[in-house]
Amino acid sequence: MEILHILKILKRSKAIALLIILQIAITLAIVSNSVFITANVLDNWLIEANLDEHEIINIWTTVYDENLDKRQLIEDDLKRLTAIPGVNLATPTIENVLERNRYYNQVFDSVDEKAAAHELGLFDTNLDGPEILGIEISSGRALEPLDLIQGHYLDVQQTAPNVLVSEDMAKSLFPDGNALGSTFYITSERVPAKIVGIYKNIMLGEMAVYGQVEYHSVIRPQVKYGQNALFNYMVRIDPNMGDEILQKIEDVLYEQPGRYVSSVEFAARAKKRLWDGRSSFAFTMLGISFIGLCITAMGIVGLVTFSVSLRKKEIGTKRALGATKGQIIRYFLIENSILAFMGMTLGVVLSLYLNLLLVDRFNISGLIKLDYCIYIACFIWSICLMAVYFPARKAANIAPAIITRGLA
Amino acid sequence: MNELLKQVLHSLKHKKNLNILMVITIAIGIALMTTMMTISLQQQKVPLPHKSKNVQLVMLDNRAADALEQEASRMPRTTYKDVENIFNAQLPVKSLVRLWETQFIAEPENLLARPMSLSASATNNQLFNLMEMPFIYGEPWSKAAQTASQAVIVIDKTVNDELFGGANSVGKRLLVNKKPLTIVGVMDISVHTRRFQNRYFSTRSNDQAFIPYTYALDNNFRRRGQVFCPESQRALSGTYRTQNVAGLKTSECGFENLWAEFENDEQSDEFFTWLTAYSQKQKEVGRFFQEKIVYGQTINQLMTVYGNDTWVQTLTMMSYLLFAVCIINTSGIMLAKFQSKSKLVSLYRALGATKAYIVKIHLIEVLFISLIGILVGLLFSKFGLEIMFHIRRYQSDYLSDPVQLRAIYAIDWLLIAKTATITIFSVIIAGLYPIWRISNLAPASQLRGA
Repeated sequence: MEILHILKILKRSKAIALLIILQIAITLAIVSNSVFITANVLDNWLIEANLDEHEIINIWTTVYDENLDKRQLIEDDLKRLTAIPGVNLATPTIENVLERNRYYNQVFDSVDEKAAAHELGLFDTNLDGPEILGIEISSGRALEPLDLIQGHYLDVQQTAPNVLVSEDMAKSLFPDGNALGSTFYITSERVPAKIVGIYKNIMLGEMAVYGQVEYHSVIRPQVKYGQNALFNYMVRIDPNMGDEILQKIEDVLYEQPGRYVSSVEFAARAKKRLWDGRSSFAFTMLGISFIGLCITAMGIVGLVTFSVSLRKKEIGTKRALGATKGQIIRYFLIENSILAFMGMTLGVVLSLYLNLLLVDRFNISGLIKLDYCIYIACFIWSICLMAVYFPARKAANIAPAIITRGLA
Repeated sequence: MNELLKQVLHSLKHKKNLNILMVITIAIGIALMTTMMTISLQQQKVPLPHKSKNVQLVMLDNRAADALEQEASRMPRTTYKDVENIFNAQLPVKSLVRLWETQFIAEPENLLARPMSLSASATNNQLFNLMEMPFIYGEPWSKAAQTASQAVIVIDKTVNDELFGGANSVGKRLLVNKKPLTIVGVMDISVHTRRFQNRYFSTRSNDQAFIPYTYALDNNFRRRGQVFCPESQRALSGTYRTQNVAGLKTSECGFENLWAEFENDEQSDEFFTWLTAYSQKQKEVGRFFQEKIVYGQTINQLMTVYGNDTWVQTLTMMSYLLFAVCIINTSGIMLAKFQSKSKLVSLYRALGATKAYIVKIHLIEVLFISLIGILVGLLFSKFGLEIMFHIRRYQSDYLSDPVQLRAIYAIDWLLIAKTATITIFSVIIAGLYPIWRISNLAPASQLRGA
């Protein structure tokens, strides 16, 4: 009965009702689409890296003096690097931890041409590699000195026969669980490698992250050089060292003329860069929706205050006829909820349309998730209720006697 | 008139808090909209606007007959053979430019400064005409230097600042991958906010140097851009990138961007007629397989594909919606404000004020409030652009060129005039109903209860 009465009253103040409904509808459309996009990013962002990101440093250098002895260079570099106080271990590498790179490596479970390809991070390191990356062997053995293959790529035809793989990688290659001791094939040239150890999942390869197989990685004890001018390293440092170490490493590397140091940075920075683009976009969207929410809440406070002031007499009459303060507040809450639900129904239609537009025209990956839709609707409703509560409480405080003034 | 202003002032003083609320709402709405529209507008600015329609990227589709359909702007790059043939045909054009990207390490001859890694392009000297490149010192290399494959280089101001402290370095030598190149010119490429010359239109960074393509090929500068080989030669594309220049020159692998600038339509018609005939002849020899082989895309056409930033467009759309919310909100506040003074207005009416007079008072009030809202909003949007610039810098992990990037976040006064006009009209429309309501009050109707 109460609802019918409210509807009748709403019909009298159509303009205000319409304004509130429209505001809620548009706000819902903005907020829900921002959340769809943000949720997509956050889903990826919240994946645990298990990485000592402040203890690993990625180093990326180019040697442009072709007359340098590359073998000597690597030896000297490792000596130079480990001589820096705070640096514990160093290894040459091709791929760096979560580093912007163009290496697109794949592995296969058979030599069959049609075998499924698995993306991964492939780390060709020396025997210190596993410790630098901070992996933890969960089954099988660690690498041994005999596993290491080292030399100029033209002199050494052999490739490392024994490798370590991550748990997820092992599972993808050998779903039956017989990975340990099995052979798989690296890159499209199908270089065979035997799994001698499996380590706990850790996020290492940038392309693997983009391929949504975050934990896929292989560590191969192999140092081959000379194929190109890139000489990359990874070092492990003591925990809690500041940014000064980066400058120190760069200075030490520049002691060797004929070399350009592209970047020396913590794995943490590389990891940050992975999400920079998408996350800053998503958070800008969230910021905009937050502003939208504030404005809508402000608007509702304003409009309800106004409609309270319009209905002072009516409320006074009600109070005089015995309505409690609670009833008055409840009345406003219900009235506003009706508007909120109308607005939200319209808002859902609007946000579906907007989503369609964004996905279709702008290729934005923000899929509708019904449960999120419900959460957001509830959230907006609760904000509406809060916005109504304060003016409603003020209304409830109207003295029943106010009605008598006009009668005098 | 004076009387009217007094009334407006009086009306403004009534319920000051609601005025502030309105100003803030309008300001936020316009600030966000201006910010996003500015970024969107600056991003859509076409390079070389006065002649962009006369500059075309020329492409020859050498993909297999069963290749998938593809946008014209994404057709393969041109092979060395075809570029040579087109140059040798000596067709009448304003300028004809070939270009491919490379990268190298450069250091001053005295080795006093640390080396720099430079993104550069190998090209011919007509590029500087096409790009209307301003030179600070020196000039482009000569045709003769180009033909003789001389070791010369044109560097950007930023490189000159870093390696030579901004002094005139023309005639000095630069070690590039340990080989000496003579600097013939120092340019200021920052006039171009997009690196369009390699057809990707990047806003992040631009070429830092140019070298003659002849020298680059003779000394096997790494091909850093796309090297597109047809299926039969695909396995070789890796070696064509880093070595085997002789093989690359005779291969069917496209790696050059070919730009043609025309004086007028007749020139371009003649050019493309010749090119179509040429491609058909080559097709008969078995070099092309597609029905349509020749593609020409103006800078404007390329911009619509490469210049699009879907994120900015999404944010712009969101800002429109938010603007709508703000306007609806303003309308609500006005309704509340005017309603609350209905007693006063009905008294005026009873005392003889005409409807038109009431409308005038409130219309001027609304205009005044929206003007203040716009002013505050523009201040906010300056702030908003600054924030977006920093978000963008963060987004590119501070690896982008801040000077080049800054251009996208610069205020555009024409756009501001536009958004201000839109806002004034929107606020007036939002105010129509509240004003209509208050001006229609019957004289003295509200006085009963008072």
